[in-house]
Amino acid sequence: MLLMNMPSAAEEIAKPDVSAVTMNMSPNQCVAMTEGQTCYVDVEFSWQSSTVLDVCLFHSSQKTPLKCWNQATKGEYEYDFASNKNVTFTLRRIDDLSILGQQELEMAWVHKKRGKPTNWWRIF
Amino acid sequence: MEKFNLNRMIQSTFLISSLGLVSVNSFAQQTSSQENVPVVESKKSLEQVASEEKSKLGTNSGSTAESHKKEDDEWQDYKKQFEQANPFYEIKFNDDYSAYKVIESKDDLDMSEDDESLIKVSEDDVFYIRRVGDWQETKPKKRKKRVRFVWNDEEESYEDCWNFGKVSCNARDGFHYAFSFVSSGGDDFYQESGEATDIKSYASYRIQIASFFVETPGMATRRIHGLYAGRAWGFNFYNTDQWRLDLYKQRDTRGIRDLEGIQVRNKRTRAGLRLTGFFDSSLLQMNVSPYSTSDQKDDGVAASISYSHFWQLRNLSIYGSAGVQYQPKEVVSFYETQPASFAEREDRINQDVELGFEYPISKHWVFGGFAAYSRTNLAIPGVSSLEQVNSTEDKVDGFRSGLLLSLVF
Repeated sequence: MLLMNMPSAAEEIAKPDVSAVTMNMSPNQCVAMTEGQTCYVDVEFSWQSSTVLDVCLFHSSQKTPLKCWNQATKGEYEYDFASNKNVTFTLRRIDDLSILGQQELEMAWVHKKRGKPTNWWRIF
Repeated sequence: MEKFNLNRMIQSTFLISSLGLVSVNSFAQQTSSQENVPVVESKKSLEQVASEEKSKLGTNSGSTAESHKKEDDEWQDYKKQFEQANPFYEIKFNDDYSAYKVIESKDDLDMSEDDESLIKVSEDDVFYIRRVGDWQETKPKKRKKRVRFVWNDEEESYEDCWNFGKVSCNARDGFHYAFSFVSSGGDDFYQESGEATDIKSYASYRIQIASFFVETPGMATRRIHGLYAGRAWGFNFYNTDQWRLDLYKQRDTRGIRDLEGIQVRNKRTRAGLRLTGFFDSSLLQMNVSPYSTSDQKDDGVAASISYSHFWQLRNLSIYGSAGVQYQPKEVVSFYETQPASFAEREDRINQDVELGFEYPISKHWVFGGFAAYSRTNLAIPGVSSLEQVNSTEDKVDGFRSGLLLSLVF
């Protein structure tokens, strides 16, 4: 029930309470060899708060939470997944789904596909 | 006309942002009840409109200048009607492409997440993107190109050609560059001992400006170079999305440095035509070289074909390459301890296979490794160094392997 009511990113108006919660993610980037390839990454999350919280960690492309914590002041989570586009991870309060912290995982690559060269403007 | 859906749009995030576009054009139909709020038209109805109008125009087509002018006028009318019925709106997406807003003035470019004018994107929405300037093409024979709404991941954008303009645009202009530290060992045809171990550092690259290129292949540029590509310069005169056709002239007869010991060399540099095919997970390169700088009466024709296939195992990229090269008797061999008379020379067939891997440590650092095997005819009498290797009666073969760390741009 909680998840069905989760607002979309466009509707999101709640401001993260960054002063109370610290959220960390490592790594922040996943690199595949060629543009468009699926990138595989094992991400580690951690959060810490000065107050006791009921929170869930969400992945931007799925509505079900990855992990929830009840009455906790800190948490850790390890997540092994694959994607070919950037992914945002969000820590939300369980009661009102307000955002407490957010981290973006960038999907990057070494080579453009099909032998296409690096553009000259990338030099500058 | 190209369209893209939400998924494709999100996949194209990098392209949009890298082009520095402040907005893109959305093909949207305005409704009477929601002023300035675009409702995205379905693909079916849009195609129906275009098809009907095209068929109308097609009945009036002719080959004379007058008929072209008439067609052009009709086309202009159609274009106006089409835009009136299906107006374009400039829109701007938010950061995660989950919503957009219609841009009517520069003030609208400012956007915040709680902007009330944001319109949520649904997965059923279809957006049409056109390039600025497409409507400016007026030559009758290019009519088909006028409706060139381009958003195609496979196609280069104008911005890729920013420095030379649209006229001289070559989507292959740009560069591949890698600086590698390599440790390799194995057989060496050209050493008296028959084998060698090396630690080297060198650059491998292809640099192309206004279709002219200069290149030095290496183990780190296997994705663009076939097994028989050597140091060369030339002109890239034809391209499709998958194929590249080059006229080239070798700068010297050396091959890829870490395989130099087991790669046969020409007696002189050569020139020719090279066709390279780039596919989703493979590379095909064919090469014909009818010209040599030697002063022999006949230059002979050398030819080669090589194929590489790439596999992905999580973030590890594994490749396998195989190739065959034909060298006429006019070009063999580079190392002759005693010049052989022409009558004693023979054509030579070289066969090569290579296995390798690449692992991206970061966007610019790649760790890799390779193992290569080469086999060739021992076609030249009096080549003492070749005989040091595992030669049988008329063939010689060699093996090399190595590890490399490359800085890639």
